[in-house]
Amino acid sequence: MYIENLDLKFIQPCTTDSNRIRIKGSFSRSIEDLFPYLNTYLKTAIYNKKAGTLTFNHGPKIIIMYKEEVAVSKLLNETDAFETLDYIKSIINDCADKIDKITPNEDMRRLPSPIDVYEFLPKINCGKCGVATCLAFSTKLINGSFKPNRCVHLVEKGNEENKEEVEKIVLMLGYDLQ
Amino acid sequence: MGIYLGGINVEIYLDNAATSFPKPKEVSEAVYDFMTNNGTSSGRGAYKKAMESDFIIYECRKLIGELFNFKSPKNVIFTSNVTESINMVLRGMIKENDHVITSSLEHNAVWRTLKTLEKEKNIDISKVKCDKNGITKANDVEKLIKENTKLIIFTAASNVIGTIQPIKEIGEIARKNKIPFVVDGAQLCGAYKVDIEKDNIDILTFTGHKSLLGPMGTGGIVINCDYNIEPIKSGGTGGDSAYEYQVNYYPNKLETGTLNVSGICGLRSAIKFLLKEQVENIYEKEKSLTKYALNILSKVKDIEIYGPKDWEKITPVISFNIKNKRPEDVAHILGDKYNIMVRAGLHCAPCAHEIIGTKERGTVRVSMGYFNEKEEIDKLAYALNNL
Repeated sequence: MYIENLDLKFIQPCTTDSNRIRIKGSFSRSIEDLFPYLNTYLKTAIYNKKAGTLTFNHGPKIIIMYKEEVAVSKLLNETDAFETLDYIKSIINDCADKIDKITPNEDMRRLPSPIDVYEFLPKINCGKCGVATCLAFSTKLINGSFKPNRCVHLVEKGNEENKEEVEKIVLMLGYDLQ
Repeated sequence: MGIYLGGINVEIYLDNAATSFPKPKEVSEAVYDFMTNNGTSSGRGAYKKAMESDFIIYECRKLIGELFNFKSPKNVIFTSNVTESINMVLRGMIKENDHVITSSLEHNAVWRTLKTLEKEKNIDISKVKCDKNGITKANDVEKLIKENTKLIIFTAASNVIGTIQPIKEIGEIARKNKIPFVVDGAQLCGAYKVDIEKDNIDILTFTGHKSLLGPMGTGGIVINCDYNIEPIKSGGTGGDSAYEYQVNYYPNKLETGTLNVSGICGLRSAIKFLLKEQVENIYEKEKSLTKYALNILSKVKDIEIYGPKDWEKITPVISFNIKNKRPEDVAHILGDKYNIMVRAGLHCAPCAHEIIGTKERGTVRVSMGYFNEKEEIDKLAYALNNL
């Protein structure tokens, strides 16, 4: 077995919204060498060799693997958390078992762009976030220097779906929401 | 596993259908260790010990799944016992004027709940007939299905005469007719291989303190279907706290308030023990004890044994009476004079006593467990011959 254990190290349990439990788990060994193989194995993952992350979706959950640990967002509850850790452990071990048949790939699949974020913004260029336009705000989100809640309109009632989409993109890039 | 039987005062426990005793030592050790060295709530904290509690709960759900061949831990719900499980399922699913089909052998956990719903929600109850040995024909279930049949609930085995019910076949009929099939697994789980998939069970209710060999105060529901169960309890679940209603995802939908983590920790050890020993081996041992007991007890003077008297058809439960003696007196003498613990009365299952014709009188019930030995049955037979 490539990794014997994937232990829960952090949980944010009592939150105000659903789909908002976040966890971190630590691998019993580094999985860095496996990243290029997981990049092929997972098909839709985004491998960022420079940052040392491999990010992918599992249902509504966003999973970011680092060499020593994994972070998962949008979990329902503790049971979901442990089930997801079991799932991650199983795909890592399955990938390791099949390593001879997998062609490693170090390429990064297309990352979300500012245009992808812009689509979900109010597009009114109010400037309240500190930059002049919504497109500039999108660029700041993509490079990690702004958080979604900096847009006061995005967090207003009625904009929940757009906020959710923007947050998904931010999480996929490996950034925290707060 | 051997028990010293040399002295007359050695205790003999034959009431395992009520609660199994003794428990594997790992069970009490696990409860003690948790209460001494951890003691935290699950689902409520982000510190290391709380995460350990979370893992205990999760691992127990997974082990229960393994025991019953069920793959989704989040659909394993913890309750305090099977009675609570049954109440939650029946009250959460049955609505005004619904029709329910059940066996003729039900424990009051099912029967009283249904009768109460009859009074409160005007439901219609059909009992599937069985013979005096508790044998039910699965086809008789199908004959009772109506347009408004909301669910079928069956005990997996009678707690009075032990008769195992044709769960797989009834489940097949329920699936064919798209009717939820609920099983009261109190007497069967742990004593007999239960496979939720092969046995066509939609909802399995179980208790931890009988053949699962766990502590009292543990039980649960395994939900193997998409049928809706409305929560009958609301309260804290540890998450979604600003949402003003009970959440709609499992297990939190049906689990509210602080879980019995210490008990579940003991249940986890009990299930690990069962998986290690293997239910098939436990069944063989208990079957051999039952066969031995039926043979020995049938030779006791003035005894009348109820049920199929066939060790292949029953759990390790034998009900009997001694001519001209009240069952409670027999139980009292066995306890007082011989240190043998058995149960007397109706065993909370008047329906089953109607079937065997003992509703007025009751029976003496002996129920064996994994840790009983044949010598103890010999001693019981000796005591019954010398009351």
